[in-house]
Amino acid sequence: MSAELQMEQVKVRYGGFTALNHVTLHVPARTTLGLVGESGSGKSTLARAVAGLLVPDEGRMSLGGRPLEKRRSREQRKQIQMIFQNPDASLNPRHSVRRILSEALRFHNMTRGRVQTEQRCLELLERVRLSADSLDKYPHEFSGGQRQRIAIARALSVEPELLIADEPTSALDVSVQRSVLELFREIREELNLTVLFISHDLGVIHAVSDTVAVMRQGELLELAPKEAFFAQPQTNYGRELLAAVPKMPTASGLVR
Amino acid sequence: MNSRKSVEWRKKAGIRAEQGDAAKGDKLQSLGRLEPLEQLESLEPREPLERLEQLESRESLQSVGTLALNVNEQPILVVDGLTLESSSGQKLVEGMSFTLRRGESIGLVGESGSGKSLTLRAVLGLLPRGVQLAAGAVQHTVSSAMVFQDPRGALDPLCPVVKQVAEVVRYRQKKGRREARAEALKLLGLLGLPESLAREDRYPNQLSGGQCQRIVIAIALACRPDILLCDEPTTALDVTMQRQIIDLIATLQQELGFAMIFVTHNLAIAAEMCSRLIVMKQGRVVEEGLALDVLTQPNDPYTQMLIEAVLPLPERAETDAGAEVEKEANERSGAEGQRIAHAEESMPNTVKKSRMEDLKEDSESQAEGGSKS
Repeated sequence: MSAELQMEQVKVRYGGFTALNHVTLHVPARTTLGLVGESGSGKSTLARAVAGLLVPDEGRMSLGGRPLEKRRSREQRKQIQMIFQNPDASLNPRHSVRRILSEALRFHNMTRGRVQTEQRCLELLERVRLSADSLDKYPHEFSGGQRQRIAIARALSVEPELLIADEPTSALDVSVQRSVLELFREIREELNLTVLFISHDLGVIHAVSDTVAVMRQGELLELAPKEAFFAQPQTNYGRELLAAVPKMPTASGLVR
Repeated sequence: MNSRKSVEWRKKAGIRAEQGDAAKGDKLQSLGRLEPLEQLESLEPREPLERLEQLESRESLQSVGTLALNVNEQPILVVDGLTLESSSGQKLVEGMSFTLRRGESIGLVGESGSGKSLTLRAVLGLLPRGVQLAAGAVQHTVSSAMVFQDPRGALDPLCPVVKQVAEVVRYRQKKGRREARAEALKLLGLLGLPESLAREDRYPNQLSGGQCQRIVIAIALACRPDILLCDEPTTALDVTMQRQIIDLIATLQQELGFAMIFVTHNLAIAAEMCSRLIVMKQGRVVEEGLALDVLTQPNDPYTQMLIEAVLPLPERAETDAGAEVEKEANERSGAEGQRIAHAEESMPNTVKKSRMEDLKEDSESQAEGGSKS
C-alpha cells in the first residue's frame, strides 16, 4: 500500500527569497530518502511542500501516480503524515495521549465507536513500546524520547503511505536517539512505508536511509544510493559535509 | 531611559558572567590587550607558542586539544566533593571532584540531566534558582567565562551585536567607548566574523546561528578568561558550523592558552577537544581518565553506551575521486606557497620604482633565489 513520491521542478519562494529552486526528486516506494544539508538549505521547506503545509510557486508533485495539488482530498492528506523535530511543540500539552491519538483516528473515520478507537490506540502504543497506562497521561509526564514516540504513534495511527520525519531525533539525547532510530527502522519494515527523513546528522542519515540527497541553498546537489554517497561523494559539498563529522579516536591513534 | 536600563542589565550580566572579583580583574588588566599574536607571545604568564613547541616535542602526548602541561604547576581550579541539591533536597550532583591546570581541557560528558551543566554553573557561581550548594567547594584563583548552548538565547535580541561585545569590553577592561568598540571589532575579526560589521552593526536575528555563536564566544573572550566554560556550544548548530566552531575554539585555545571545561554529549567531539574526560550519569561521576583511555578501554557500561551512541560512518573509499581532491588541494597549497614565496621576495621592492624596474628587480630576485638554492 506504499507509494512513490515524485517531485518535478518544484520551486518555493518566501517573498523575494528562493527557498527551493527547481528541485526534481524521485523517491521509489518503500524506500527511505535521507535529506541532508546545513540549516537554511531548504530541507524543511521541501518537506512542508510535500506535506501540503505550503504551496509551491512552480512545479508538480505526485504520490503513487496521483498529483498532489494545492487542494488535497481527505484521502491524500491521510496518506502523508509528518513527525516534527520538537515533540514539546507538536503535541498539545492539554490533551491526554488518548485524545492526541484518537483525534486523528476519528477525523479520518478510521475506527467506529469508542471501544474500537481505544483498541486501536492501545495497539499503537504497543507498537511504539509505550505501556497501556500511558493513555490517560499528558505529554509533560513523559520524557523527550517517549514524547517523540507518541508523535510517531499519532503519525502512524491513520496508516499513512508516506512518512515525513523532520529532524525527529535532533532534540533527543544520544541514547534515546538510538532507540528512536531503531523504532523507525522497525515500523518502516513492518508497514512498508516510504519515508522522507530529514537530518543534518550524517550518522543518523547513514543509519536509516537507502538513498541520500544533499541540499544546499535551495538546490538539490547530489542524489545517490547510501553506500555510494558515503564511500565517494560526487560533489565538493558532499565531501565537505562528510569531513566535518567529528570522528571517534581509534586505538591506533586519533583519526580526524 | 529604557536603553540605560538595558545597559545596567547587561553590566550586571557581565558581572555575573565572569566570576572574578576586582583583584582578578586587575590581574587581567595587566595582561594587556587581546591583540595580535606577536604580542601575545610576549605575555609573561602564558607563552602559548613556546608551549606549543613543547607540545610538539613531547612524544608521550596522549591526545590533541590541549597544551603541554606542567604537572608540578598549581591547579587553577579545584572542585572538591561538589554536591548540589534542589530545594526539595534531591541530589542533582553528588561528590564531584576534579582539578584543572592552566591550559588544560577537560570534557564533561553524559546525557541530559546528568549534572554536567549544573557543574559548570557551580564553577561559574551562577547556580539557577532553587539549586543550592549542599557540600564541597569550588576554589579558583582565576577568572572564568562561559559560552552557552543556545547563542540566540544568550544574546540580547534588541541590541546590535558589536555594541553587545563592546559593552563587555568596556566594562571588563575599563575602556572608553570608542576604544572598547575598536577592541570589540578586533575581537570579532579574530573570530572570523565579516568586516562589514564595522560599518554596519547588525542584530542577532540578522546573523546565522554559527555567527551568533562566534559573537557569544567573543563576549566570553572579552572577559579575558583563564578558564573558558563551554556548555554544549555546538549542539544547536549543523555539522559544518559545528566543525567550524570546534576548530575555532581549538585554535583560540592554542593562541590564547586558556584552560577549558567542555560540556557535551557527543563523545567524538569531546575526544577531539579534550585531554581528559569525566563521564557523568545522574549527578555522579562514573568514569574519569585520559580521553584516549576512556574511549578505547571504557570500564563502565554507561561509557560504552555513549561510545556506541556516536553513529559510525563507513570509511571513505580510497578512490580516484579522493586522490583527485587531494591533488587539487596540493596544487592549491602549492600555488599558495609560491605566492607567499613570491611576496617575500618582492618585499624589499616596495620602494617607489618605475614599473619596468620593478619587473626587472623581481626577476633578478627570483634568479637570486634560484642560485641560492
